[in-house]
Amino acid sequence: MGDKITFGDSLVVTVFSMTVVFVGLIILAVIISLLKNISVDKKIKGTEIEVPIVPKQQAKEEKVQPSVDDNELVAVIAAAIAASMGVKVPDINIKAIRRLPQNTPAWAQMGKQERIFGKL
Amino acid sequence: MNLGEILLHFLQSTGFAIFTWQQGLMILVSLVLLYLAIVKGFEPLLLIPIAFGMLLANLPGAGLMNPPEGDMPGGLLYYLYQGVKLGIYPPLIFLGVGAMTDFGPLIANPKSILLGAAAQLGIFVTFIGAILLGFTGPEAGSIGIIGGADGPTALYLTSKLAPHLLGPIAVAAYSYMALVPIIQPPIMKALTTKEEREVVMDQLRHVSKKERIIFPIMVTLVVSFILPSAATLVGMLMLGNLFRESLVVDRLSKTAQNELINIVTIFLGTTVGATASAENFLTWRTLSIIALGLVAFSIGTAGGVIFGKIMYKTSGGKVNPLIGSAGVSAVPMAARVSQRVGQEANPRNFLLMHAMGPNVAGVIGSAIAAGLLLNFFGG
Repeated sequence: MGDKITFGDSLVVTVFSMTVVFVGLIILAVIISLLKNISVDKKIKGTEIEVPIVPKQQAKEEKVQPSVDDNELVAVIAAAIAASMGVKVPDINIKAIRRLPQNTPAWAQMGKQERIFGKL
Repeated sequence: MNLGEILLHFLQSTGFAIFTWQQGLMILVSLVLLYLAIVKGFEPLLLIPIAFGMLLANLPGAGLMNPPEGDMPGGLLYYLYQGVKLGIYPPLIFLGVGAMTDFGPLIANPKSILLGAAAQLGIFVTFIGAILLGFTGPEAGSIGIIGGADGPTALYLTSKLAPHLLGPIAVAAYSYMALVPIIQPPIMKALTTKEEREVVMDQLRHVSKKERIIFPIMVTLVVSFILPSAATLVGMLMLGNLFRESLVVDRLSKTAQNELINIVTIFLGTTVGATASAENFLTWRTLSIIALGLVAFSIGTAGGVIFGKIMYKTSGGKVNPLIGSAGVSAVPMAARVSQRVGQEANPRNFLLMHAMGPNVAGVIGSAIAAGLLLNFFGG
């Protein structure tokens, strides 16, 4: 195409180019979609992280020994529950906190602690 | 030769004696750009070299951009400029951009690639506008590509089609890219309803390593077979991305996204700025290019958002149309704008990763658009 072009020519260029851009990218999109079926690692195929929608005012109960009377601990547990559920602290209602008997093997506890400290 | 003559000769050769008002005006323009870059933070990584290149090229008598004459070698910037003229620097920048870009969001949601296509509308509408204003075909193509909001693509195409417009086009492209957070939100809000802006999109799926590795190879093959003229830009972009995703050439990937891109940016910015000599820059055409550039950005944004609305309708309200505006490349600024506007409507909304899909698709889209314009008007 020459240097001097008319308005009509420019319309043709525009329509043609937009069509090619669309068609080219649609082809890419289709191939990418196919790619998913061919190459997704078997183990994680189809795993989508489901975020549970938790209704407000849901009662949450944790079993903890009644003798523990520590407001700070209660506040921390309440905040942790609220954060993991994605709601505000006043929206949850903690009825009881009881300590469960420790039945994790010592070696597993060690491992867990090492991992936690490794992240800090 | 006596002392008087020496003194006279020296005085005649100083900048003050041969200074023209046009050069003065250009130095002033470069100082304004330096102010915008340093104080206002407008794309400083590029605007500082561009503005200083402009300053250097307009120093009276210094001749930094002079071509060689006879036995006299040319100016420093003239030689560095060959990398722009021959189309070497922009693809090298693309190599680095590829190494920095995560195409994961695009692979996870391939439909979002269409938004990257729709946002290229600005390029071609502006192209028509430039033709109507009397620019030639190659010039109009170079002006339109500003709407791709992709610096290296704009410079690559302009260096091939209309090198005399490099200065104004570089200034317009990078200034508007810096102004994306100001230009886009009003257009996005005007075209969408509050209900549409509040849409929360589903979380993106996990993308496997295999997909990430196959993607750059596949894109290079598909795009280059459809449009061989886009192979330079897309090929380098995807090579950089393969460096990143293969995970076995960490050193190359790091070099491409740090040292190499920084070195090339210095050369590219300075020499592109140096093309803005008074006779090239101080014309009415510069003003119309800057005006057309704004039109290109706005229509590109609108094209993306309108297509986003179509996807909102066809998906039954699952797509937030705000991610469409990110289709105008300008990575990652345009995606951040989508995120911000989305969060204004609904504080629980996180659109950033969803907007990154159209955003990186826009880079591929504008490279294809550049290839097409090169096909029509190159050579």
